Amino acid sequence: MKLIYKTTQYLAMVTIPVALAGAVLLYYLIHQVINKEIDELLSSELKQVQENLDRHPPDTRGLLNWDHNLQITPAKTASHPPVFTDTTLFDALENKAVSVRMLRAIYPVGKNHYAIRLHQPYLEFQEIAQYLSIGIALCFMVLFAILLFIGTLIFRRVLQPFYIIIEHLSQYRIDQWATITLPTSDVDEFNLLSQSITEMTRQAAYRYSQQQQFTDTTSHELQTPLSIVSTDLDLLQQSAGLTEEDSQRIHRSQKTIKRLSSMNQSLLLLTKIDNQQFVQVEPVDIARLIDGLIDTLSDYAASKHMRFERLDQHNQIVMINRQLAFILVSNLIQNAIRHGRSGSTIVITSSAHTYSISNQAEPLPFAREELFRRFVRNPALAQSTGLGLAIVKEIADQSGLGVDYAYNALAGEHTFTVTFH
Amino acid sequence: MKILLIEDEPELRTNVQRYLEDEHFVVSTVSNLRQASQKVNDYNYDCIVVDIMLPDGNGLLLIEQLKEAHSEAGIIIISAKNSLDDRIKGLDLGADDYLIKPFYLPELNARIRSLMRRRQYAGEQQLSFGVLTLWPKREEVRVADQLVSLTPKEFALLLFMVTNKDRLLTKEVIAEHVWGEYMTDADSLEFLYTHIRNLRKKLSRSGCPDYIKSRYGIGYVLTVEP
Repeated sequence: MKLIYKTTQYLAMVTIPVALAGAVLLYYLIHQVINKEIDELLSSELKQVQENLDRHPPDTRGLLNWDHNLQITPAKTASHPPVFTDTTLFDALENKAVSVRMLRAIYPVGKNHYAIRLHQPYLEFQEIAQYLSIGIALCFMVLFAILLFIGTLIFRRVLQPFYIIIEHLSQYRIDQWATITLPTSDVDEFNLLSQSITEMTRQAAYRYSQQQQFTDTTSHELQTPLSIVSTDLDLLQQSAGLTEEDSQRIHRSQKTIKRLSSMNQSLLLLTKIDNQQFVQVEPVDIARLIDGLIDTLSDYAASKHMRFERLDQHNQIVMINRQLAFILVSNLIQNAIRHGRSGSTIVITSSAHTYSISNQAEPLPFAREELFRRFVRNPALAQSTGLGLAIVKEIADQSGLGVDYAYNALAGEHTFTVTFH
Repeated sequence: MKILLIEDEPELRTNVQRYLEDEHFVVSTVSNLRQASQKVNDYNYDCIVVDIMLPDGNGLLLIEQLKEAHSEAGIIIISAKNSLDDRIKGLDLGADDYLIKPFYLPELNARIRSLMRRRQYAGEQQLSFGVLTLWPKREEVRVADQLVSLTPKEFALLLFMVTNKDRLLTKEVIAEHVWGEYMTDADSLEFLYTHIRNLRKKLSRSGCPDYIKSRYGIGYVLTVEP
């Protein structure tokens, strides 16, 4: 829900009850005032009636016909103070019951007591009170609606820098060098926000580039000495008069250098993935990726008399970084060939959301939980760095994929399943 | 054939220079971008081997300079960074190849030769070794006048060995060249033996002497010497 609608919603939630309660209260107040006025009117009429009675003591006959609103009857009871009541009377003229305010009093004139009943019809007073209170409440609501409309316009205008900032932030990419430029505003808070965000993104970009530089520098600093040793050994190997033992020692050193170098590359790759330096994603066709890899690795598989069986009918097009997808699939296939039993078949299957690769091999030489951990490797394979599956796991985690391992002891079959969401 | 090598690490520079000179290249070396820029301004080279991370700047700047001057020289980048971005940027700028440190010297030699072939360098279109003649462009091999039919992998293998003749080539170097860098962490390089055996068989069937000598189980040497 947009900020502006949320605000409007809350305002409406408060305003409507306030308007309703206000109307009721107003009606009650107007009613009270009218009552008071009518009572005063009746009281002053009563005084007049009483004065008239004092001045011209009535005969019994003339009592009934004075006034439509005044009745004087002889009473036997003693006098008591005037009493106001609300009641209805039938109005013969209008032919309907009308509500009236009635004042009753007993008044002694000489020996006689007279009951005086005075009424005053409310007439349209009540209706006026009703219309007035409803009218005022409606006016209030209309006024509020207009204010809200104007408020929305102002709100939009005032918050424009805020929306521009949001727009800029949603387009910001840390791996691109462009610095973020936010609008300045005459509102201090927005300026503060712009400044803070600019500062924050600047620092994040700086840290990002520092990390990137660190991996680049580390790579350079480590690979260069390795290159020197490697070329030294290349030259040394060409020397005349080397004994077989010398040659083999040199060869072993070369292999070790290669292993060091690939371990270094793998660790740097892990660091890069950790630092999220592979942000660019694109649709990658997994089946075609596998086609290419199987082609590249076919000689390797053939040397172990292994073959591939493709049962992946469901093809997946996944939004992922192409380089990472390549490394992930390549590591899994190489893993299957490297550890697979000679002469066995590597089976690749797929379902609507998964891709699996199975190979037959001896059970794991370590606990199953260790499988994806760094530097956990089969000690029988000298050149293994123990980082291949750690990289697979890291790529899966960073790319929002799942990777699972299962072992079927009966068939001696290891299966890795990658789940795409 | 003249090569300019731009590398700031002295030991590495000397080693590369030594190997390439043994391969009968004429090698000039410089250690920074400023000197390199001067050299390419003053002389013509057939091939330039440039390190990207130089003390006074990025080697890519030199490639830009060469392309602006419409230089005909082939360009090979050597970099410690295994970065896809850099590789793409370098090749986009007009570099011909990208080699990651640490590299094998025979591999660098093969890359330079291959680049020269692609650039129609006269001496590289046809290679001879003993009774063998290779036409790399057509992937053709003849023993005397008889055509030998080889698979693409076998041809690549033979070409690599002829390019680095009389050198001990370890199994790792050969595998990485023919099958790519993904093969390097293969623990078993047995498959290489199968390919070498097939190649030997096909060559000897055409009457070629056995030039491919196995050396201590480490690798192979292509030599006319017995």
